[in-house]
Amino acid sequence: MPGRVFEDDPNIPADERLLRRIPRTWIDWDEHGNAVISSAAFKDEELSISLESVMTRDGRPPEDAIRNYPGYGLASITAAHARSLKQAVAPDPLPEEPAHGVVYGQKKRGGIGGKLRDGALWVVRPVELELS
Amino acid sequence: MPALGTAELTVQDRGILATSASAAYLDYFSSGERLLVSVFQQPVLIRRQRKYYSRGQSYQVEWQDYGQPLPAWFDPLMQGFVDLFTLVHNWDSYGAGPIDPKVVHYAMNLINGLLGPTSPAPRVVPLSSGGLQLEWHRQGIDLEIVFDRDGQPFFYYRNRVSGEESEHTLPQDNALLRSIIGKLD
Repeated sequence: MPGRVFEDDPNIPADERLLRRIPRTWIDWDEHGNAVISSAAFKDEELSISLESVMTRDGRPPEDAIRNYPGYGLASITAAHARSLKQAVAPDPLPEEPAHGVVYGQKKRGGIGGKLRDGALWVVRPVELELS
Repeated sequence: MPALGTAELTVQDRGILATSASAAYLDYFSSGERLLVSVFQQPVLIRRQRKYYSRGQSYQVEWQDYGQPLPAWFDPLMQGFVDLFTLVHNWDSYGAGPIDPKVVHYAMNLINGLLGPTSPAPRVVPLSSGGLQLEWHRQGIDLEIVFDRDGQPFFYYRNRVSGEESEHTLPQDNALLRSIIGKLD
């Protein structure tokens, strides 16, 4: 829901893992077969993520974030990494996803999206498939 | 404009027209090459077409040229653009809508004028905002051209070795962008 403003929530610890679904269209495969994420995956001003601690609280493993999205990868960045790039990290629970949160801030200029991507680690690697 | 030494497509005089249903690609010889062709040897424009498949749909790209070999970037670039047209609603799983065909059209025209015959093909990547970006990650350089629905297109350059980075507005800095793309060959 663009247009909202989020303040950083200091109750979210620096090492909190912020989970982001990655569709195939944001993935490139390098010459070694590694899945490389495009910076486009981290360019929304209001970037949706799932807070791992909330999922854990609810007894859900991280993989649950892509349960309904076959073929998607799941990547994580830490709250500290997002904050280091002048982003606010805030909870934004939704009825269908209580763990929903937001990494809020300008990302399109200054290479911020790419720098967020550079700190991302795969939680669930996607499988390479030909686009049909 | 310098004449090219091969029969490869020239880029600066080329224009691309595209819709969500089809695309037309128009090519001309450069003015330098035209000077070398006598009135009796004027090449004739021919209509060409190529079909691309994406997510169960087929798209036909049509263009006119003089029958020159297509540059290596042509097919992957066109396939990338066609793949944008077939993205379904919520393709990013976070509510993204379709990519704006006007943005695609603009990007096709702009990049067509910047790529040389031996340029590496950029990767075409959708943005959740309805725009797109073209990316190269080669030779230690990250280069991204961003076309969004609002705002002027720009490119972001980063040298991964030196750490140097900069951002430039298009089309004002087309010459700089062309020069950087030239270093990616």
